[in-house]
Amino acid sequence: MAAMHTIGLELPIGHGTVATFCQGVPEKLVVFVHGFGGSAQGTWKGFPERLEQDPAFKRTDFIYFGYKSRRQAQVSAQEFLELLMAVLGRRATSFTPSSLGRKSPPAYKKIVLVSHSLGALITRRALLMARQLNAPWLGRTRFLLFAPAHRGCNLIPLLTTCLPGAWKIGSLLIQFAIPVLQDLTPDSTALNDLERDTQAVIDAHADHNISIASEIIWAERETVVIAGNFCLDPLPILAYDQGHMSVCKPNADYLLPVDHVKEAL
Amino acid sequence: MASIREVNLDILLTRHRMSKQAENGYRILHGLILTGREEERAWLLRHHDQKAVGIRESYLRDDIDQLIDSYCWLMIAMLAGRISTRLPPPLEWEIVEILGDTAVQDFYKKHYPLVLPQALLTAVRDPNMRKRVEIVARQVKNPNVFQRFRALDRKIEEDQDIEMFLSFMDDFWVRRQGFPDLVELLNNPEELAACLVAQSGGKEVLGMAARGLLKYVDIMAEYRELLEDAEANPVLASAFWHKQGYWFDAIGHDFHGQLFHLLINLKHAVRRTFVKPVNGLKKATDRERAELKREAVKAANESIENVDFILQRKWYTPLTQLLNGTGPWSMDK
Repeated sequence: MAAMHTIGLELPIGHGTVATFCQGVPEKLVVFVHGFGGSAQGTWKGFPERLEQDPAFKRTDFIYFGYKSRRQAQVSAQEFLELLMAVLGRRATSFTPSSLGRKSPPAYKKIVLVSHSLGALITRRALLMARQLNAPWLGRTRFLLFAPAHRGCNLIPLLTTCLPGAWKIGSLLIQFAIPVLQDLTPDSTALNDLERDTQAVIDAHADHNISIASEIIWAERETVVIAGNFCLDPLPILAYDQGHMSVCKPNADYLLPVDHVKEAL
Repeated sequence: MASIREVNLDILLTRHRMSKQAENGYRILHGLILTGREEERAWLLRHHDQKAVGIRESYLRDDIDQLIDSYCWLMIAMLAGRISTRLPPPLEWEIVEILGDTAVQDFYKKHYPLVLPQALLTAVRDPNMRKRVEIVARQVKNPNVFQRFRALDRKIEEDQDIEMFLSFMDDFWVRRQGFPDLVELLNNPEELAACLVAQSGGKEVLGMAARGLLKYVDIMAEYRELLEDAEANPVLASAFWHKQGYWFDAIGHDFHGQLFHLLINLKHAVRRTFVKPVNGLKKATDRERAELKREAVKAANESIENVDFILQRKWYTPLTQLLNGTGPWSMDK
């Protein structure tokens, strides 16, 4: 089947952030946010080829957000917010190839943020910050979380499972002095603040779409994140035979991730 | 409305060919060709053994490298089926003008052999080659491998730590520090750790090179995964490999041996590192510390295997066969 989306265009916000665009007028946007030790596109291996060849996503643009995941989560959330404000704001056309012929910023009817692990903290915090700014696109936004780390992580499995080889070596040499590990420790200030601020939005009976996840997907063989409920999030869907890293990587025998993104749209 | 392939070409040209450096590279060569200064071109593009390259010349040559690199991208995108094999006529004329020039050809064929520019020039000139490229493109089952390769190449080309590391591998010296200093640093795990986090205090050059080495280790792992995933299409896998042809093939000295030497030293550094009971994890049990160390040693071993896998000659051949119409392509000649 002929490709329905462009090759990736590098965006100047984040670290390795890339966007692929559909032809014609886009109606929807999906933004992917990786976790600790992941990368903008590597974390989502198996996704692009399925989404970009599926007619259901013919009018959908995709962004794969990359950031330096060793930093404190709050800093990455701020960077993610900057990306969202840019691509959903008045400057949006400056991020699209001119030959695409988009004269005005796309008016996406639906925006879905898809996050893995640490990406869940980044996404939730960025949405709370966007609320403070009264971002006009918030009402059209939902989010979907794979193996979210919003309850914290088991740090040893996190380091042995999620890190690429050289990071394992480098982390050992520097005695694991990695700022974000403090945020990912259960009951950390970052996690407690996130829960408190999310609950406050829920209590205000407003913006449930950005305070309550539309779907949570847990890996049956999870060892990295603490599996626990977060505020009023829905009951999780269990992905059988999947581990922390594979839960967000669809393949020929595991299409649940694609199906749920489709549903969220 | 532009087709997806036309937009893809626009993205590639904007990102690579229209970059300030590549544009300057074109202006230099076009000017020298237009005014018939062949000797000047040949001198600027000489092999560095003929006479060492001066600083000003090296800037000009860097710009020309970027121009040639932008042509390599076009060739890879054609093979991946992401752009048409027929380029807009002005771009085809430019490719013939630049890559067809004798001095430029000596540069990328003789002095620092690169196969991708040769393949592009042939694809532009020869309908049979174009046909072969189209056959390869039609066989691409997963168009996303091209995207993954772009992300990988971007990491190599844009990271300053990797640039420093590779300049050490290319026998360059920066602030009187070079490859032997990096080898020595790896023999001292405490100093290595201090350099890895150093941003100033005289350790930054070695720190950058050491961080670059670690990043390169991950890049080799990703390269391996990509080559394995693209193996069903050997020409495309070969094209991915040739994009780093300067290091993997043309550099002329023992890149493999040097890298192997560094990785063995890195492994020893990891083995000698003592994981302190109180560290960035606050506290870890003896068992956990042993597990973390075991994982790091395993990663160091895998890095050596990855380098051996990538630097095999088998990756060189398929693209050259396509170019020369030999091997599986001999029937089409």
